[in-house]
This record gives sequence, structure tokens and C-alpha cells, in this order.
Amino acid sequence: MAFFSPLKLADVLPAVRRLLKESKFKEAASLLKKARKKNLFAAELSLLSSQVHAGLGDREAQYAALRHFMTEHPNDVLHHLKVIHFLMQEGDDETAQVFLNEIKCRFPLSGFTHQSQAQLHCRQHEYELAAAALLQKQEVKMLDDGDAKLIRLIRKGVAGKPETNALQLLAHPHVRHILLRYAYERFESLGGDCEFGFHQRRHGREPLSLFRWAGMPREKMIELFKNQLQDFASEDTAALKPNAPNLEDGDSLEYYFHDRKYEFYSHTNATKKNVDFSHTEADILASITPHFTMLTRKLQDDLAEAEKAFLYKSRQNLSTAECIELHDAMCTLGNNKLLIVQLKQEGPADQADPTDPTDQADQADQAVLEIIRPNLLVGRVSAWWGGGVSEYTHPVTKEWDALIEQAYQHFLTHYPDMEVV
Amino acid sequence: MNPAVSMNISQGVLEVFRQTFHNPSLIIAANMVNGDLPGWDSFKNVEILLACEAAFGIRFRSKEIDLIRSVGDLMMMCQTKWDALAPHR
Repeated sequence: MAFFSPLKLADVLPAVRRLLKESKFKEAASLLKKARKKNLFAAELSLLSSQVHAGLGDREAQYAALRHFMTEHPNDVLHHLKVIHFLMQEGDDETAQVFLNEIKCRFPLSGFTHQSQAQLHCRQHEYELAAAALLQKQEVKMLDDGDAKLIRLIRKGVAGKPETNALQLLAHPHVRHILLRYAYERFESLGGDCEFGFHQRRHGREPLSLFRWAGMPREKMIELFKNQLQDFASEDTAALKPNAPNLEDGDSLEYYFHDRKYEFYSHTNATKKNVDFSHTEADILASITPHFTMLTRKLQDDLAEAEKAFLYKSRQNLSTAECIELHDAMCTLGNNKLLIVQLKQEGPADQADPTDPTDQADQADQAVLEIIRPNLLVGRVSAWWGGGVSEYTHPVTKEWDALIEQAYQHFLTHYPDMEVV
Repeated sequence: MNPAVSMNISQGVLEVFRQTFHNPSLIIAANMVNGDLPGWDSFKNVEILLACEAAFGIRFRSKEIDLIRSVGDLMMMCQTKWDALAPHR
């Protein structure tokens, strides 16, 4: 017989949770009392204790337990806000609002409190109030990507009937940038070349995708989709291709990954700086191939889920029939959305001079979007952009932003699933 | 680190980073993102994900990969997937 029952925190926490789940509040309260007597303490116990008191209908004790939790880190706003998120998780928005009002008074200059307020309003479908909370956040601390989900919820919630606050919020330049960054992320490159990858980088996005730094002929891509990506990057088809006859010539020389069957080429970052070139090509290939296997798997998921939109850049302007042929092939894997980007005019504009303002001034923001199908668009820009460090202010970047914004809005109208909220 | 992430996972992810960046004394933090370490680019990200899959016996889906933006997100994702596998271990 044990003299003292060895009550451990690791046992108490799951036991209380289980009792709460079974609505055995009295038993849970008794166990918590025992734990306190044994001097077992964890912030989480206070939260569980608040749940127990709420279950027993003792609001005063519930509030006391929550305040006890907050006193553990009295100057940490994020710790205080854990109470709000805990209460929201429990579905107790009313108590959450009571505590949030107190926290806002305690931390008047924190942006996080306004963000939590907006979240609470969104839960109650009070989108105008949520917009007001985010505008308050903008006043004390800049809106950022952490607010993107709330902004999208508000935009969706007020669709077609935004009032003062929502109008003001959605028109804010920061909000436009946040939404644009999100839009760039919801497009996945199908290559052509690396330009779209650089545009995503320009917006601080580095998504992983097979074609972001790669390309293959359009007819081969059609074949790849029709074959359901079979045999791609397999042992029989994978190879390395140096981008110059002699890789010893410079640090920037690189081994490309090459799929012989589909004529696919991709950057690998396997340069002299990153890879020991004394290894055999077979060894280097063996270390690189799993990357492409994973990215192929990822593409397969994305095509099957069909939530994102794909973007294919074509240096050669395609006919409508050619665009449809590529789209049809993609749709054998899922009901996919495609934006094909090409030039307004083939020819000299292909290499527009970024240093000549007269060449570019009247073209900014002038992207052209043509709807072939609800899920197939052709966008046109006036020049290609190389993505070089010195080119980040190239005027054509504005055209791309306008294009992505318009195409995203178009797809969103027809396919609301494109926006993950 | 996030208390929801177990010691095993955070230590495992740290090991993955140390091996991937060939630096046995590397220190990582939950808020670190792509570019915060020399040589940390999108190619390295694939390497890190593959190494985590091997280390924890998990497999990431595309949507899960898209949600990972920081070391903390990666740890949380590994933890979630590790926990989901618990009944099968």
C-alpha cells in the first residue's frame, strides 16, 4: 500500500480533460483540488479549472481561474490573449469579449488585441466591426500578413455590400499589398521559364513547386498531363545536364536536372559552391532526384485538388486552340484553372528597355486579360522581366501585379474554393 | 519553442537542420524563415522536408507544405503528423 498517492501533472491534465469531456465537472473539480494540495502547478491547469467552474455554473470562480492564468506572465500580451483563444475554442465568445475588453485596456498599443477583436467579430459575422478593429490595429501597428486571413474573411463577409469600415479597410494600400501577396501564392507556376518565380519572390513568397525554376516544351507538358505524370523523373528518364561544356569554368555554372522523356529542364542549385564536383554525376543525380520526386508528388496533389490556379508563361503567343489543348490536358487530372501569360505583341517588346521611360510609362497597369473559359484565361503583358536584382523596379512588374489581381478576382468569382479562409 | 511541440520533435528538427546545413552546432529558432541562414533557399527547403519525412516516418501533403513558413510551423506540422500516426505505431 502506498503511503502517498503519486499524483503527477502528466496524469492530472489528461484525466481532467477526460472528465470534462464526459461533463463530470464535480469529479474534475475534486481532482484539481487534489492537484493544488500537492502543489502541482501548470498554467494549463488554470484554463482547465476555468472550464470546470464554467461547467458548474460558477462564473466568479471561472473568471478567477482565467485571471490566475494571466498573472503568470502579467506583462506578456500574447500570454493574456491565450485566454481569448482558449475561450473562442470553447465557443464562449461572450466571456472572451469580457476579457478582451480588459486586455485592450491593459495593452492599449498592442496590435494583437485588435487582431483578436477582429477575429472575435468575424466569428460572430460582424464584418463591419471586424474591419473597424483592423483599422484600429493599422493605427497602432501596421497590418501585416498575419491579418491576411481576417481581411479575406471580411472581404468575403461583406461581398457586394461593404460599408464605411470595410470600404476603408479594403482600400488601404497595405491591405492591397497583403491581398496581392496572397493572390501570388495561390498561383502555381507551370514554367515556361523562371519569371513567375521571381515575381513571387518580389512579393516575399517562396512556394515550392516543380516548375517554378523549370521549363519544358508545351507539347511535352500536354503529354505529361495526359500520362498522369507517369514515369516523370524516374530512374530511366532522369539525367543531369551541365549548363556549360566545362563546369570548372565558374562558380555560377550548374548542373540542370533533365527528364529525357519529357524534355524537362530545371535549375538545381547544384553549383560548384554547393556541391562537391569531385563526386560522380551518378552520385549527384542520386542526391538530386528525390527533390524532383517530391515536387512531382506535390504537383500531382495540387492538380488533383484543383484549388490553386496554374500559370503558364509562353514566350511564343499561342492560338486559342493551343491554349485549350493545354488546359484540356491539365483537366484530365482535375478541374483546374489556368492563366496563360504571353506578350501583347510578339517582337521587339519581347526585350523592352527598362531604362527607357518612354518605352514603359504608358504601359504600367495595362495588363490585358482575355477569358477563354471560366477557368482558362490568357493574360498579356508588354514585356518580359528577367528578375535580375537591378530590375525589381521594372515598370512591367506593375502590369504583372494588375494581371494577377484581375485573374485572381475572376477565378475567385467562379471558384470560391480558391481562397482558403 | 512552442510547448505543443514535444522535445523529440524539436530535437529531431534541429538535427535535420544541422545535417542539412552541415553545421553540428547550428542553433535554430521557431521564427526563422527561408533566407535566415546562409544557403537556405527553396532547394534547401525540399531537402529539409525530405529529411523530416525520413526522420519521423511521415509524408507531407502539398497543402501541408504550403502552410509551412517558419521553423516553428515545420515543428508543429511534424508534431501533428507524428501524433496522427501514434495509433499505428
